[in-house]
Amino acid sequence: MDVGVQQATLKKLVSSRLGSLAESVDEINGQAVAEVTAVNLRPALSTLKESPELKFDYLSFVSAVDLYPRSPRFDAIYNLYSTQRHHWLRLKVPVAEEETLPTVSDLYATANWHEREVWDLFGITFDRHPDLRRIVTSDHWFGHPLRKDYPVEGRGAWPLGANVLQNIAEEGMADQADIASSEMGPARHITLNMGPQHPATHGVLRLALELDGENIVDCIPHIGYLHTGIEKLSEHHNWTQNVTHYGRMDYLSPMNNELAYCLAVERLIPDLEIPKRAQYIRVLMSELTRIISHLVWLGTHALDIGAMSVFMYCFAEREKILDLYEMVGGERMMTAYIRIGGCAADVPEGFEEAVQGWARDFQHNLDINHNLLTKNPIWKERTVGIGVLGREESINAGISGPLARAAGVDWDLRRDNPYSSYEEFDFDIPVETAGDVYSRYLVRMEEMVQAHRIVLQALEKIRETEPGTHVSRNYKYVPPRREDIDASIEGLIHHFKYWTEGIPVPTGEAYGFIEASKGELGFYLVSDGSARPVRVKVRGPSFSNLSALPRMVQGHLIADVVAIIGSIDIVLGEVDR
Amino acid sequence: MSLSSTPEPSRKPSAAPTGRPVSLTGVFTASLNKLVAWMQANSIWPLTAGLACCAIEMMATSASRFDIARFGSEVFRASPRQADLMIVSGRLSWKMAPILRELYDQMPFPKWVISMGACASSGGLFRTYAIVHGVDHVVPVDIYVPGCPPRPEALLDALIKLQKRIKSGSYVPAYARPPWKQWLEAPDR
Ligand code: SF4
Repeated sequence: MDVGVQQATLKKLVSSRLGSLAESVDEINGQAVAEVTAVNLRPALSTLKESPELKFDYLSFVSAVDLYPRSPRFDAIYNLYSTQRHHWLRLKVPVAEEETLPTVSDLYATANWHEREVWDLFGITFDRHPDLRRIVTSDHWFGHPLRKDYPVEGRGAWPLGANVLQNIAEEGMADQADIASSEMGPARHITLNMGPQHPATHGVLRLALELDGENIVDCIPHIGYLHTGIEKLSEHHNWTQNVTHYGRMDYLSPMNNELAYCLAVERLIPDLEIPKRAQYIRVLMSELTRIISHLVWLGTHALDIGAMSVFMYCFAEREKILDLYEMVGGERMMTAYIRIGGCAADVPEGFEEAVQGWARDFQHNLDINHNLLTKNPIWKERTVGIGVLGREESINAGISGPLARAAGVDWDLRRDNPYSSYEEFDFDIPVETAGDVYSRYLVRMEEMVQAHRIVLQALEKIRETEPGTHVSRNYKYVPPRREDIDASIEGLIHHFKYWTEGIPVPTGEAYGFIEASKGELGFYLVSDGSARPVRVKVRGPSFSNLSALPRMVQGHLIADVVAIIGSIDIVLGEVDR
Repeated sequence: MSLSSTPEPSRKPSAAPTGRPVSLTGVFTASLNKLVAWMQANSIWPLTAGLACCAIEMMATSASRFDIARFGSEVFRASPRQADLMIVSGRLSWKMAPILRELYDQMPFPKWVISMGACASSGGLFRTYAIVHGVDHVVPVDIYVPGCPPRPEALLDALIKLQKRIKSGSYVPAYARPPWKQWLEAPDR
């Protein structure tokens, strides 16, 4: 069905189902948005979740926007998706500063962490929330950083200078005391602290594990040790500059992040057409990115379980793709290659041969790892039946990507809501049903094979397009080419305006999403027509995926925690942002 | 050189680092200081303390292509008690700062710190409320590596520079220089 028609029917359906529960149902930039009041929020969500035609079973994120000085000050945002019908809906709930919202964490388990984040960053309270603590900032933080009156460089709650060390020593001590007091279970249980500096937590994740002997009774993840304030910083840089932040967020798949952001901005700008060549290059690069991300996952996951050589093979293979990265973007990791309107440059000469050269050996190199692991009894002993998460449970927990597909959720945004011309490509989506660590492994291994297929197809398609059309020629939104600056006064004006004022993104809001290597990666943007965004919300897949960790590890042995963390494939830069 | 003219293996003067006298009977004579420095420099064990993106490049440095083992530093230790070198690879948040300092305090002397990347050196791209604008507010840094992320070659270069300093025997680590010296010697520590 045509997307426009689909949206119109969806809008009608939503307004008829919600009836008087919704204040309004609109379509903004091709996406359905319903406004509800705080009182009607829970009934509205239950209706949307239960209704057989709508089936909004998946809550992608909960967030907020500070619209100071508007009254009521905040908009709370609930982004919903249906994994069966494949449509989106955003709920908007205006909240005043002194008002509270009801928690929805009993309807959608994933809301638990998202609501904590909103409380932490905006100071909106959620009634009856089971565990409303700060999540990304430290427990002793002062203020709510994403409020507009909070300065981007902080309030100096941590004075720099002579007493920094004193401060952090006290903070460290308070932290230790917290672990000891609050998380102790019954007397015969012991609490074990794991991380944030631990080789198997894949970054700075900290887990407080409650153990009965070697069995895990409970697990409380503590995140935020890499909280960077990227969302806040994005409000202070202009639309173009912002591209550079996001590669540094999920640093295992930089180009995926850039693509998701650019797609979101492009959704805000209706008159910006992306040439086919640019779309194919984006597909090619994001599939290569998927492969490097999966390679790092495989290498470190195997290393955690004890297979050292896999790590070496994977990194050797990754280096080859980084060479391709370097060819197109000039840098090994943070290329900022995908830009608003297209790509930063055309693919260089010799790129096609280089990709083909890599592609020739890739299957063989992947098979080396297959031979080492897939039938290896030790590997299977450590992974089969470990960390099981069922289908319904994982949808409810907001899990996406390979993790969901390993649990039998047949859902991939590349196929179900195609972007960047993915509908023209031919690929399979591996789905397993066991939902354990081993099936996640199988899914990702197959995804690499499929990504390799897509890369070859994209190469074909790029060849058929005209060189030099790697970026739009709409000079309102992209920097003009040198020839055009020299040839016409308009070109010069565009050039001047682009670099001094930034691009005029129209007022509005949009959610751009992609199927990243770890799952649904989305950017929710709000623009007021100025050169800088009002709000950038990053919906990182790792954040939601990680929040289900306690359910996965319960009842397992402590050694299994390592395998389970590895199988989630988290990257803390994206969890904490 | 023909085979017959090769001296007996036990008698052969071993290829010694320059400046170290070697006798033909196989006995080393060296100043103890220099010998210790030479050994230290060639077996710097780094701490596994990856923070952010730069940590991925640090991993790449230790993996196949760049092979940090050539410089005797492949033994990444998860326990600070066994590590000599802290590579602060990535941005340091205020929430993480006390832990990083604790790790540093747990490392045995002598110890060195490499601040890898723009974020670790100055906060880099991220001048925000959450990030420490330079890890030298928290730990004494010996070498700063520029880049975002620095290439593995740059990290190796830093390692080699550190080795040179250690080998020279006269290098005073950052913790023993002001302003950190005072902190180290403070009576309430
Ligand atoms: S310097 Fe660059 S690559 Fe390194 S941690 Fe900072 S942002 Fe990441």
